[in-house]
Amino acid sequence: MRDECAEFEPLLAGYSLEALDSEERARVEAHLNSCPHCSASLREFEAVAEGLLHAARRRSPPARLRRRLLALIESPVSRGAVGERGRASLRRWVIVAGLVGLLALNLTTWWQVTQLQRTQEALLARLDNQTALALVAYPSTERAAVEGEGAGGTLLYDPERTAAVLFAWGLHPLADDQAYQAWLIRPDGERVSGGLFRVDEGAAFTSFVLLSSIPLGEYDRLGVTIEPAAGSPEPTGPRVLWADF
Amino acid sequence: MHAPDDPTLAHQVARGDRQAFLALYDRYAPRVYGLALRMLGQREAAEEITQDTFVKLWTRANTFNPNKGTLLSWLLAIARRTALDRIRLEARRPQAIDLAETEVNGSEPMVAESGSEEARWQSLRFALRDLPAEQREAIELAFYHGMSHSQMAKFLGLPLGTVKTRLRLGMIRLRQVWLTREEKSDRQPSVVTSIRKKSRHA
Repeated sequence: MRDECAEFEPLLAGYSLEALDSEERARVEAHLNSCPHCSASLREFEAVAEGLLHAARRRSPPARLRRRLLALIESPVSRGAVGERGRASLRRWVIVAGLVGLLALNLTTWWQVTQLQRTQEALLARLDNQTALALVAYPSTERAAVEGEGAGGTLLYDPERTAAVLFAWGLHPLADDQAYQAWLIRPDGERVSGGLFRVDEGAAFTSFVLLSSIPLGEYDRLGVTIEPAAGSPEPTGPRVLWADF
Repeated sequence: MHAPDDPTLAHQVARGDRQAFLALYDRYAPRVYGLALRMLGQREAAEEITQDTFVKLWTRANTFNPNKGTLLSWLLAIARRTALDRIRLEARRPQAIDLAETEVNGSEPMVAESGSEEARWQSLRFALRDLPAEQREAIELAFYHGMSHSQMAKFLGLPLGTVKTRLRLGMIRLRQVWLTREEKSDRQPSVVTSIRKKSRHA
């Protein structure tokens, strides 16, 4: 230990926590370069600083974070530039192949596409039913009472997920140029469309799968209005159902 | 069947193994999120820091060197650095020091696979909790909020010398606890040290 250590030793704790101002830090670093005693003392403080990293309590992050990370690492740009260049080259070939494929398109394939669309619609209807069943089965699914004038229902949703199921009764079939539109409402009042649905003649109740781009826990209310058949960017018609999450 | 150890999983992540990545996420996300939440005090921001930290694990796992410290310390050091960058960028003011956040819950389970290390950290948590409030406050403002002595003095409305003394006395007390524990086990080099040195020369 040297005489000058008396000046620097009191600063080592602050140095280990990066609490020194730049000029002071530079002076300490110059001293450390030539002082094994202070360097050893600093290492002890730095070991404490590392221990402080572990001093915060464990907290469980929301489940959506795991899903988001999984999506991120599965995206084609998640690895370095070399991999990206390889994928860019591959994408160019895919585009060229796609254009050739489009040129070869004829009436027969157009007809096939039409058939596929019909099949897809049927599959989507089945998927809606499966989504509804899955939500019923989730242990974390929550239920909200849906109210209306002469109508009502139940909303099943998981705050961490982006799909919910609305079961509604008492809604009347609408004219062909109209549709029911569901709205998800943020705490600040912003309305986001949750999709359009129709009610069949004679149906005792209607089930509808709402889809959101963000977890439903970000919203705190639901509304259903009558809108033009193509839907509206924001509610314009009468409100027929509402619920608080 | 034993779960693969951290260095093995990190090596697999470096080769693009998603399952290994998820295994490490499941193992350590609560620690990373807990630190980020402690530093930023907001769930959304803590989520983003946790996400950034694990994205760095995914993209830079090949830079992890098990000879320089544990993977958990490496992850936490990245999380702290990322959180401090954000605190400074947004000029965030520290959240009120909440002892309940800092205190270890007496019933918090020990992690079986890292018993001795966990016990040492646990003792440090208790020592931090037991410091005089003004010493703990100085350490937390420096470590969790990236404040310098002079920033702390301004923030607390205290003379610079007072702040320096509080921080130094608190750290000396923690060092005593740490060294007492250290006598029982050999230590690896500090991850904090190596990461800080890199950042200073960046």
